[in-house]
Amino acid sequence: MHLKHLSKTIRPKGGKTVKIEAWVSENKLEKVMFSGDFFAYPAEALEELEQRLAGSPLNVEEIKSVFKQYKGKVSLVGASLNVLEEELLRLLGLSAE
Amino acid sequence: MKRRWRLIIGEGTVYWNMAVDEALLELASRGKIVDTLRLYVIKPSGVTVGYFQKISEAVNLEYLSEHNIPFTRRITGGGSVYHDAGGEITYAVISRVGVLPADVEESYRVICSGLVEALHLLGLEARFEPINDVTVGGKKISGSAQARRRSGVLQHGTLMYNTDLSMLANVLRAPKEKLKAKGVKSIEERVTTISRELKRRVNSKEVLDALIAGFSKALGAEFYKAELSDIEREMAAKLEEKYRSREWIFKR
Repeated sequence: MHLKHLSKTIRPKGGKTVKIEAWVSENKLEKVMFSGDFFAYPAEALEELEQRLAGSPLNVEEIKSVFKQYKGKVSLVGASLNVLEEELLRLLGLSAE
Repeated sequence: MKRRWRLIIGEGTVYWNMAVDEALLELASRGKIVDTLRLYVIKPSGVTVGYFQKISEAVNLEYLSEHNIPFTRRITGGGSVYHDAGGEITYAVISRVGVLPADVEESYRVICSGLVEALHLLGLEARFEPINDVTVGGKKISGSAQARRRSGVLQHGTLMYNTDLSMLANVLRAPKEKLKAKGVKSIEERVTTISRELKRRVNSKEVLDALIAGFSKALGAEFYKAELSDIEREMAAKLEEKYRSREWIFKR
């Protein structure tokens, strides 16, 4: 199966560096990785979010619903879950902008 | 009245020290240990990367291999660090919420004020720069990283007193986005050491004494010297295997 690799690096003002990577097939998000020098509490919850995103259809509502389950469950310092969500959707070409 | 904290001073490999820090965090999260400050030297010199960093982007793997420099991944976030055995002291504060602020960013401020105070005692005007840096003259001299497990808190970080900065620049990699945000062209331009700032060669004993006094003030602590307990050593010995494993180090 041919996967397309998409990637972007952001540095929110006053925050940390975050690289957002997505591996996509024709209609599915196969794998997601958030890497960088930010902090997540607890760290394991962000990894769980990455795993939960894997396999999502390339659909705004589906992806947003996965993120929604983690808001309040993981807190980021140097970035935020909202920023990760927005940037992932933008990277996937699913953002309104 | 000052609160009593245990003080453990030591040295060891990067794997052992990361394992000890995690063991103490785990025990703190179970309410099994007293508040502890560790001051240690990573020997031989080694490198740690943050929990979420991609190892190939955070360090120069080829250089590390050529120079036999050990490296591992931390359980704390943040960036990559070069721990110079002859020029850097690592600290670790292990305690719990209640003794330290529940708010993560505020707890960085409280703990990092110990570093600012230590530098002040050594004759330097230092500043805490949120989220996790301490700077002198706008250059980074210390970086910290914090992990939490239930109510347990671990914050560890560096204080560079005589770090070989050209070695540091060879070993670490920084994304261009980070350098741009800091307004510098290279890592070397962004960092400094106590010796460089004081224009004299300081020794580790001076720095250790300043750190103890600085943290005593910041944490309202009265320190007593101690060693790791048998339980702590045993737990760290098991965890050390993880820190040496490729699976852990290359997980990202």
